[in-house]
Amino acid sequence: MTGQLNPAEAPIIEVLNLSHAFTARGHTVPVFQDISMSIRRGEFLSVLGPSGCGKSTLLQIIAGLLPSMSGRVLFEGQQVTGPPPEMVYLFQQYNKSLLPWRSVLGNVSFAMEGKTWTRSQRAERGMEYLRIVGLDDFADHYPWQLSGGMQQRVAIARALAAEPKVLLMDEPFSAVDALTRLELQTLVLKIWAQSGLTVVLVTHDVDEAVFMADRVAMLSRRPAVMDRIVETGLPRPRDAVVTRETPRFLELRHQLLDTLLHRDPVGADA
Amino acid sequence: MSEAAQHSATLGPAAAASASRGMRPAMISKVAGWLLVLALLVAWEASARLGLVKSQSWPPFTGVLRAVWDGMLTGELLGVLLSTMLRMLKGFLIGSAIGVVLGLLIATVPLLRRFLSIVIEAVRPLPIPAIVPPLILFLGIDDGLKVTVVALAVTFPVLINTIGGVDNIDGTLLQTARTFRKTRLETMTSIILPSALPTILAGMRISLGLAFVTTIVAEMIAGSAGVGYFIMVTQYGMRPDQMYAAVICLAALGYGLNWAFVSIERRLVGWDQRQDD
Amino acid sequence: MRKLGRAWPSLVTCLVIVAIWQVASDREVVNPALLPPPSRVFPLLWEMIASGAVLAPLAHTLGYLAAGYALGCAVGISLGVLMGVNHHVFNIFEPLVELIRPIPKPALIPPLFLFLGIGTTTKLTVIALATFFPVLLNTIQGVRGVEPVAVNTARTLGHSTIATIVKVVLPGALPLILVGMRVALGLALILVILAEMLVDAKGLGYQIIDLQRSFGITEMFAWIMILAVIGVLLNAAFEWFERLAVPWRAK
Repeated sequence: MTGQLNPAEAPIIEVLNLSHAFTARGHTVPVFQDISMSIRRGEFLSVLGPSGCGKSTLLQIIAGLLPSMSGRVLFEGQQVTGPPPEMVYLFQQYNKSLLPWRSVLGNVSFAMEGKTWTRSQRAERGMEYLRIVGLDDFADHYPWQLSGGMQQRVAIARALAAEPKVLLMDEPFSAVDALTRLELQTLVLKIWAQSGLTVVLVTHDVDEAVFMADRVAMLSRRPAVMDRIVETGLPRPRDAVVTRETPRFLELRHQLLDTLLHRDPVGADA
Repeated sequence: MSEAAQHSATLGPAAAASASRGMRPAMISKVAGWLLVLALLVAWEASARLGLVKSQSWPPFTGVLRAVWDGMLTGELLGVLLSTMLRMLKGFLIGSAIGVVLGLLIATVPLLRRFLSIVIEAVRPLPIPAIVPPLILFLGIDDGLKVTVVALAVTFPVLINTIGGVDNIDGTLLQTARTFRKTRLETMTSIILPSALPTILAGMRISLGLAFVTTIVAEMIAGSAGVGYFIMVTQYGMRPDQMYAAVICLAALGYGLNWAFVSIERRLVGWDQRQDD
Repeated sequence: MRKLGRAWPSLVTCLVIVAIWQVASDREVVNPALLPPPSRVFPLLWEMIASGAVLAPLAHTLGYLAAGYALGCAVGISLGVLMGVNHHVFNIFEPLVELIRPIPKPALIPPLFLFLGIGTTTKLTVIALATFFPVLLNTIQGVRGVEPVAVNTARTLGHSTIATIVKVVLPGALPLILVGMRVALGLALILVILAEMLVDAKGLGYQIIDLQRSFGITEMFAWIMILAVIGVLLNAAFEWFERLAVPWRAK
């Protein structure tokens, strides 16, 4: 290892030549091929791609939830072979990832069990994280008593309670209504700004990818390869309405949509 | 929508290893499963042949197989099995018919439901063996008794499932029937019965297993004929090889019955996409 | 109040049945020696309860039922979880389970009797065996049906395999495990009564068959009524337990 480098500038995650395929009726269908990227410490990275390009699978391999077929993932220089305790995966299906037999607080405590915390410390810290997502009044409720957006906020509080360095989000807002989605995006950006977390967000929503991220990694159609990685360069803090009206946002949105829709750039001729 | 429908949950490293190395370890454990059965059979044979289990009542496995063979050839075991099957089928058909008819009535006539539901709930948990002794007083110990007991045991699951099946019919279907001005009877035969059929058949499958067990229970308590009686007699008469032969045949029959009913069920309600269990 | 409102028609039905029974016996439509009238069965039943004569056989039957049922459930759930979680364990035990499962369990009483002798051990074993199979199969199915997203969530939050099984897999499988336990309870009740009729000299089953043989018909009917009440109570207790154990299922 290059010991002279400032550890803060070394990538926190390195994805090296990952390929994946699935077998259906005896045929091997490649999903993505030879994907490589470096994820910087503390950045907000969006992974954007059309449906079926395997971006969720990619995220699960990074999280150590799925074994890689070829290629490697390094987390802080160490090869990932199982879920590392400092990377937490947030599922799209909040209604399935929350445990229905536990209260909201019990679900958040779930992330702290098996560690050194005492029961009362867990409860106290759990309440803090619930306060961050604005659900401290609902600690005693059960998940099925909450709306979808609130359930996903519980899942976010739970992920934070595990005190990860990296938060891997798999289309976390695609199952809630449009307005709730905007609120959750702003909430996550606020948490990210205050915590110093590294966030990797997988989405097929161009707006969301650009609005949230420092960089957008764009995957092509299946069999997917890394199309390009663009810096958004949008100023922070971002505003759910104003940021979306800036020329830079519109320009990026235009470019990326053109690529996703698989057509030549329109109105952007030289 | 979600491209990663292959969220696979694996516990521990074993599954991950087999995913990357193919089917090999699964094949090994499957073979191991059958070897376990074989080993137990060999242990049975050896313990009896070598006198490890010093008991008159522990025949070697091959001896039991010979008893199956002989029992089939002489017709003794075969006859006993057939008579049990016949009684079971009679009771099953009578009980199913009563269950379906009574179930349809209770489900569609609110007054009947109100007056009968708790009575059914009260009688249903009574274990079958307990109704055999009083029925012996009235019916003796011959076929009439056993068919009655089996029919009683079969009626309740079929009845409950029939009511449940009718209750779960989509209201739109019934309204459709009404817009086409179907009569009550037409609605019953063309809408209600076919819609409830998958649930009714599921109840009948449960009942078939119950009928099988009940026939043997009745034959054991009120012995005069059949496999249940045969097993009791061979146990008293110290003919353990024949007793085990009968038990093995019962296992095969139980397996065959379930298989047969599932194939019939598939043919009858193959259109039904819901999972019934 | 609502509950009472729905219950009265059934109460009427019960009274009508008892009345018909009484009249049929009085008018000798059925032989009163074979079907004694309620006016004789109920006072005797009350006397048996008041004198405490019901207690010993009842305790005997329920004790064995509870022990055999608990044993069958414990083994069935443990093996079921192992078979559901690990496909190697499943492959190893599947052939054996599939070979033994179709045997009607009552038919095992005589062979077990030859091995284990009269009464207790035979009874316990056959009740446990009858309980074991439905619990095992439902546990396997329940474990396999546990939401993979929940299991993966436990993994990404750093829980060990054991912790994941205890905290996610078992509670997730519980609704189906309870379905198996309910089926098993009915079977266990059948087998405890049958075993007492065939190979024991105590308990409710023995009382019923013995009184039938010695023509103590009135008392036999009293015992059958006690058994019916036990059946209803066990069912009600199970439903109560089910609601307590899986409250989230109600929604």
